[in-house]
Amino acid sequence: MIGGLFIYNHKGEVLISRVYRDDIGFFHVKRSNIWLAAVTKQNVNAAMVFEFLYKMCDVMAAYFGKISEENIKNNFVLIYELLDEILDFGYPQNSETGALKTFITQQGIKSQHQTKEEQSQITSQVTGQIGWRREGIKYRRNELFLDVLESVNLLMSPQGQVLSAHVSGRVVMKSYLSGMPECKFGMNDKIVIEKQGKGTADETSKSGKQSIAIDDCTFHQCVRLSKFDSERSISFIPPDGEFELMRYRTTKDIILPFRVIPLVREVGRTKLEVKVVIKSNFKPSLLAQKIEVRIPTPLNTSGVQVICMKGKAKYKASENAIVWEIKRMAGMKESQISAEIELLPTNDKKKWARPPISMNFEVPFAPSGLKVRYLKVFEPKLNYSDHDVIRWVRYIGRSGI
Amino acid sequence: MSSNSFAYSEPAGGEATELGQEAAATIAPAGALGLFSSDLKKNEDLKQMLESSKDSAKLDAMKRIVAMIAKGKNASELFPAVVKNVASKNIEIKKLVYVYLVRYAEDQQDLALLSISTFQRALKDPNQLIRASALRVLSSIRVPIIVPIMMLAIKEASADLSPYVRKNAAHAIQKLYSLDPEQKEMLIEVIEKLLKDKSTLVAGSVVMAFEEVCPERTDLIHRNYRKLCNLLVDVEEWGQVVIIHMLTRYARTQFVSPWREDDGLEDSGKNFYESDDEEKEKADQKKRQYIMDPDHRLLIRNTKPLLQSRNAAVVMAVAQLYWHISPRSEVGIVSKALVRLLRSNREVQYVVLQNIATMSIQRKGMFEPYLKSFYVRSTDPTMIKTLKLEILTNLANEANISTLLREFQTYVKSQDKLFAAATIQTVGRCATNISEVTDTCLSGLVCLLSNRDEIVVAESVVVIKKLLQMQPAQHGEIIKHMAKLLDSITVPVARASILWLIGENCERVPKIAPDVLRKMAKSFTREDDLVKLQILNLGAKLYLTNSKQTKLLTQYILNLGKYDQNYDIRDRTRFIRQLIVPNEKSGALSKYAKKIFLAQKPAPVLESPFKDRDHFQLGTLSHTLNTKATGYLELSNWPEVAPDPSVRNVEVIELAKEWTPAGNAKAENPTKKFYSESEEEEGEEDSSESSSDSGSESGSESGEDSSADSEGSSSEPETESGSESGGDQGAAKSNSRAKGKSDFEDGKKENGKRKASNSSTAESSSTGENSSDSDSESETESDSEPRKVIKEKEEKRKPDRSPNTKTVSLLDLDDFNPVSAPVVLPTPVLSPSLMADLEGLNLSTSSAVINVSAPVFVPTKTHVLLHRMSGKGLAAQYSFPRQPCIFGDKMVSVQVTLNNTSDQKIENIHVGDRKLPVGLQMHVFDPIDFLEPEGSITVSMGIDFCDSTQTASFQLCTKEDCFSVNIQPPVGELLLPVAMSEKDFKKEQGKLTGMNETSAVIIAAPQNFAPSVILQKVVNVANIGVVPSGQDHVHRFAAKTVHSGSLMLVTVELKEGFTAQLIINTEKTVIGSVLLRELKPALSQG
Repeated sequence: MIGGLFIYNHKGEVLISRVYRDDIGFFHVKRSNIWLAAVTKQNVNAAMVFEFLYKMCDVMAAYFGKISEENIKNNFVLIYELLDEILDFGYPQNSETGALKTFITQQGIKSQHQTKEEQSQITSQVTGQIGWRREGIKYRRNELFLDVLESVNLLMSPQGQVLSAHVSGRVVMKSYLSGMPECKFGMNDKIVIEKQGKGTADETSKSGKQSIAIDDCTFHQCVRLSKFDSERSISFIPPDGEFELMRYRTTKDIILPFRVIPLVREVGRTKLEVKVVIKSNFKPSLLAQKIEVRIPTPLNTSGVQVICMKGKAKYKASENAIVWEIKRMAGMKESQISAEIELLPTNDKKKWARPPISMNFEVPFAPSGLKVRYLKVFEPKLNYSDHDVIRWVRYIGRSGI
Repeated sequence: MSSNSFAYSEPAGGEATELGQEAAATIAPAGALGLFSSDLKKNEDLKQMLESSKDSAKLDAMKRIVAMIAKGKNASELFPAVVKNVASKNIEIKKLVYVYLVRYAEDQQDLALLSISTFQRALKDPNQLIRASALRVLSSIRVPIIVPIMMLAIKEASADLSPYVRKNAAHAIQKLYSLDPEQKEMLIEVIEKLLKDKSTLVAGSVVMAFEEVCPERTDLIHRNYRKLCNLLVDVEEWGQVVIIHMLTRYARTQFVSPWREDDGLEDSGKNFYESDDEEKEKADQKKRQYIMDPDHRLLIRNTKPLLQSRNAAVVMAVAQLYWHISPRSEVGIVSKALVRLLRSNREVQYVVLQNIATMSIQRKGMFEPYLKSFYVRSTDPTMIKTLKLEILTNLANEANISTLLREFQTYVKSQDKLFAAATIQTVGRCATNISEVTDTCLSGLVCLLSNRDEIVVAESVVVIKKLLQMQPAQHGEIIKHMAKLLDSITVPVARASILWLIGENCERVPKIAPDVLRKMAKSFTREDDLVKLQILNLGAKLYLTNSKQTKLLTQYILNLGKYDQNYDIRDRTRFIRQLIVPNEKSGALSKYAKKIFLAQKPAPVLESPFKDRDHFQLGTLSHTLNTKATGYLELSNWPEVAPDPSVRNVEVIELAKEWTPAGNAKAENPTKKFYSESEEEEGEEDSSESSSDSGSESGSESGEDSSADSEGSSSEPETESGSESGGDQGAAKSNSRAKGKSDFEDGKKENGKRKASNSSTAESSSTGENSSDSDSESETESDSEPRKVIKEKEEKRKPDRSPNTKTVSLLDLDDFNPVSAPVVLPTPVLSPSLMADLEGLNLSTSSAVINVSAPVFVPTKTHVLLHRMSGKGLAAQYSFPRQPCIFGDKMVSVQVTLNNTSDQKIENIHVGDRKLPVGLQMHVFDPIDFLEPEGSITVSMGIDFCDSTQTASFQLCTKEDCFSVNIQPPVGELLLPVAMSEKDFKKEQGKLTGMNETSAVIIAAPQNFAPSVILQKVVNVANIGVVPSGQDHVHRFAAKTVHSGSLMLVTVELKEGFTAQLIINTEKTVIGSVLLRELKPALSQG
């Protein structure tokens, strides 16, 4: 299994090292300036090591925020404790942040003045069937927040054909619920809806896209996979606080929120004219936010003049790109930027490769068309019913990955 | 001491971290000395801080020390000061001391021993977390002296009440093993014990220990196999990975291959296996038949939901499991999950893509629908781009090549030149693989020759060169085209390649080649060295083939070359001149110059770099690196014949008692008595008991009222009793003489009663004897001889018997005779009138055609219907009691035992929605009002499976919940045993030949050849009746299918050299072949 784990800074200095056996063979991942490396010479599952390193990053991030050299140096005791818990003799262990946080706290370990009760709570959690939630949680207001976060990915040919598009989405839930609630989550999954009979099928044909075909999905460990397998219902006992309930992917009928139309004209050898039009393609009542269009410029750019109707645009020499930012944009609108790029004459005969224009945005709907239909909460032991739970649902569609 | 420790620790630290060494190398030299001295000082005040009474100071000191360790500095001299604090009350300090101890205990063993007692105390702590962490640290201290203490601690912890501690015990096993491999045997014992653990927490860890300590001991897994499969979903994710890998290896040693040999590389099978049923039927027609072991199926089924796991490692593990052990037709389901993983981190992506690349070489079809997912993005790193390209190449076929080529066109324009070059190579590979597009690819590549980028052009030329080399017949045109290109192309590599091509094919383009040489001669001095060399080669080749036109040109070039600046070119010139231009000094070689220059050059092979990776287990490090990693365990090839599947059976009788207290008690009784009974006891009593038992059973079962009859039907239960006692005896392996005798006497009595009339009884007793006695055997033989005579007589008599009998019965007889033999033959000895009476009474019996006999007792196998975890405390098991169903005679009776494992009453347990395949019917149990905590209840159900192994799915509902459950019958439970004489058996067998016969040869261990063992093994697999046999090397069994009542005849014929012929005759060929598959391994195993 894993023979050792090291954390390096960008200069190659070891910040943290933990050696289990004398092994060689590297796996490493990078987070900002920090390298996490695992070594082994055993025949491990390669994906597992990477997966573990990323898990480790997540756990550390959950404990002290950004992973930076500074933070790691400040928290190395904590990291050693975490390592103790999640990597025993090179074997990855329970790496659920929620569970870890109950007995390894940010202030170091809780002192031994813990009451007996607390202790038994911790132990039952570590050892119990439901490792991700402890008993006896109480809230005055039972609330839950559902975020449907989707990112649209698009692959286009240079000719402007859409080669493939998919949405990878996440359903993130923040639960503040008392007791051990049993939740059931429903969305407009095509398979489920079709199953539910013909009554709804008529509706589907009337109002078009009522249900979506989910290509494939993964769940948090709290979701009963067997139940999903047999009846495609998503039921679970949620961990307390924030967690990612599921991830999914769709490839069909994706609403592409924007269209970018670039026009590039090379005027002589030292001048380039770029015109980019973006069109928003959704309901006029909705507002897209944080729009950022990044137009790459050739390496030998000497000066840029930009005119845009909306938002701010700037040429960033360090990034070799014109960055155009628009704070808000309503649906079914159009906006345009034109730029004149001055080039330094070079000997290089190579044509400018015209790298892709990239765009970031946030739209308040799910590009895949996913809708949350219900989220039922049952808590058999405590006295609150499904109606008492306050639910908040939010859809965010983003660009990329 | 301290200097000593230095010597120890330094190399240890260095060895441990290669990178660490590097890092140290860059930093250390700068101020090694200064650092060292300041260290010494610092250590002094650290010591003081550790001695202080304040926890905060100690904590601070410990933190600094641990920081030193992290940076690879030596802190070993602080050992005594640190160890004192191991007993500190402050957990935080304690933890840090542990970190320190684990690092340095090995160097300072004597001092480390001081801390041991603290751990020993902690091991007894009431808090399980403390026990666990004490064990963890204790086992991490690598001091050989404490091995016995560790061993003891592990043993104790493995029996701890807390599963968390047991889990840590499992981890400690590996640590102890790496410290002292001598302990292996003892550790294996602990592993064995922990493997039996039912906690999901322990399962993952103990399998890790198993993999490390004794991966070869598959025998430890047998009994836990099913449990592990069932627990798998609930085990934590890292444990899942390890378990899946282990089970993959296990399955490869224990089950026969589900792959058909003619499957080849491409999945031709996929098209024609639409459904499982169809697959079965198709397989039937094939000569080779394969039935998957239910355990094999169990593993495949239980891992499937894990494809949805969030953890990429788990998904990868399941994918490799499917790849390595599931039938080819089912591997496809993993592709979707793998494609999904492409959305994760790029490192994971890399690993996954590598695996996909390997898979896609063998199975194009799997990933074809996802072709577009492998399109390269401009933002992908190069390593991923090239892998994707590799996959795209593997997936290319006639249908999608045009789309792919269009995509490739884009890639060629990529800024990433390495990638562009790789793309061109890919195009070349596609061109060679798919002959339809070779020309398109070639022309495409030729177009690329005019590309401005050097690498692209060079690569294109090289690829074109390779392509042309492969099909030397039809490329005159392209060579001409390339010759024209020589004027425009400037890249030396490309020019050189073109010249080489022309030279190589100079005889095919006789007009162009000299002209090219002429042009080249003109520009010779201006060319690149690489090109010059090729010009020389071209000249030499032309000189040899076409000296008339080119002699002067070549000599001119050779002259130019002679005074070239580059010594390589001068050398080459000299060499060529000596070789080709004949002069007085030229040696023997010049004769062969033509052969040397124009030898047939082997065409380069364009193949995937992943071609040879598939011999590594997918998903492993070895596969990723394409070299064997330490501890790599080869996946064994499938065994030819599956080892005995029964080894995986858990103690069933115990279980049966535990779970089905009400239902099985009755069935168990006779055997229990049988086992306990002393051998002197009367066999007759035994047989009479069983006969009455079976008699009543058969009466109630088939609803026959035959028992009312005096003679003919009384022979029926007796027949059964005979066979049954034979079977029981076999089961008990009693070879006592007394028993055999009594049995025999019993038989003789019967024989006396209706001597030579009903052969079955005599035969059954002879079966009993074969295993028991030799002197009684002689008697049997003498006995059997007259019987044979009578048999012949009987046969003669049969046809003329019918006119004598009364018409009603006669018609009936005639009616059913051709269909299948009546098991109870009317005894010819009786007077015709009595016989007629008899048959009249037998009417109802004969309409059932075959008489059902009592089943031979076997321990009941229980199957889990609903696990208590998923059932929220409600657990359900089901078993097949092998009794005819009371709800309908086409149904198989199923006993369901419900347990309430929760601490609350479960109310209103009933069966909810049913999802039954067409034709299946179900009779459910009456709703149960409530079930007390810890209570259990057994209910019966009837299911008509329509003689198929289709799954009956339904919902088991309580007041609050509904749980979906499945019952899938083993094929052996779809049968009801039938009593039959040998003769009838043979007759029926004669009717069921050809398509209705399936057979197999098995090789079995010698001990399996005892008749009792064979009997036991066969009835274990199927609910089937024993047919008395006259020959001791032939064993016959008969049964009928529950739904249609078709006969199922099984013959086991023992041959020399421990082989046996297994023949099954039945109309239901599907069931027959399934049964054959299940019997085969059962009989062949030791």
